[in-house]
Amino acid sequence: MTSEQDLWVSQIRKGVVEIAVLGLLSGERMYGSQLVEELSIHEELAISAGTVYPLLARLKKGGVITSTWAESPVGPPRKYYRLTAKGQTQLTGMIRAWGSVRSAVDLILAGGGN
Amino acid sequence: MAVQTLDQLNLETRLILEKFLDSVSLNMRSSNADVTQETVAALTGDLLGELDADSTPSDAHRVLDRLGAARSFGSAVDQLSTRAAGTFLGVPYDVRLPTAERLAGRLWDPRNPRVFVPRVFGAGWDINFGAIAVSLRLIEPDSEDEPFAAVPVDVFLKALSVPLAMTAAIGLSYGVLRGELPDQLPSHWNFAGHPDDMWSTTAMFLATFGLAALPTVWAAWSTLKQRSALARGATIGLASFAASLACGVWLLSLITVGGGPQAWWIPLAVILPSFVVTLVVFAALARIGRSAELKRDLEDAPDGRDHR
Repeated sequence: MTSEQDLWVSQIRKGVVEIAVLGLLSGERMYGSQLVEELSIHEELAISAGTVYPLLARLKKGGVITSTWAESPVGPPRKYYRLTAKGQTQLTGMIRAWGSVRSAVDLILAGGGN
Repeated sequence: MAVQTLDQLNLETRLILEKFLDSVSLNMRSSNADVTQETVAALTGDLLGELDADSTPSDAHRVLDRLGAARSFGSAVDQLSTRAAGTFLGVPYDVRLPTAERLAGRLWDPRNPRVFVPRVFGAGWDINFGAIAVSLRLIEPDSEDEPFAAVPVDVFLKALSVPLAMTAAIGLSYGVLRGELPDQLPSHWNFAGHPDDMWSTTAMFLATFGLAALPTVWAAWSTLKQRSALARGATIGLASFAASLACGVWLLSLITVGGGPQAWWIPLAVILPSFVVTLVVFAALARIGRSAELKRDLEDAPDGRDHR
């Protein structure tokens, strides 16, 4: 890949990291390193702890997620994150936008391929 | 007619610009001389581009007024201050006057895994003690919602006693040993640990005492003036670093003056503990903040309800 392509891919990743984190948190509450682990399964997203933790701080400040220390079934207490009502609304909007952007791009690419 | 230098302007217009430029460089005294010079040169170029040999003083005022929304020299300097931070040959620099908040963001940022971060003031890198604490598993990156925010006030006062005690130790040892010390003390050591420069004993004392005392006074001021928790923690951490470094140098000077032990590792053994002291102070504050958060969440909401 050329460096321009790399730049483009990294911009795409930067754009989707938030929806990925909110998407994971919409299912269940999770602690920081658990989120990092879940995200690292998807190599193509290449989201590291250095991205996730500052993002969590920003989302919490914005009232999109909330955190609380809680006993963990295994190991020491953890700081768990979950979506707030505002976060849920935001995620719904993001999913809708993501879907329409993806369809539009797919449409263009399908047409270009003909 | 376009102009290249201030001399080509008419005298009255030139005087107005010179007065403005002098005021800018005066206001940039906190920056290093090269940056000030570069900034003023760039600014002069920009201003000359807007004027010509026939420009009147009111033209000059019109151009200067456009520089800042507040129409003041200060805002012009603020506009320019972005030049005061950046990278040169890949090495980051920042010559804006450091604030406690900016300092805190660099020295203690556990969410950032990078250990070396652009220096708060000057060129090069600072150490992000937060990244070290996380990699040593002393804390988690998100142990605290806001660094040190949950730390009780009296803990800051106790932490402040660390640099305070070390500053006092330098002062006391000087007071006690004064009569027995020679006129000159080693002030610099080569890589083999041999002293290769001497200062007068008074100068050496003042330098080490000042290195310890000034950041400690800053930390005390931040703590007592009820600045943000982040500012308190960061200035106390910095003061701990400076005071322990000063203690180490002072001690090294005292033990090497009479030709005492000389080995390559001695200067290192004196300087390394200052990093350890700083890490311990930062990590202890963060752990106390973490415990306070834990207590708040687990005791106030025993069933694990969210703290909002």
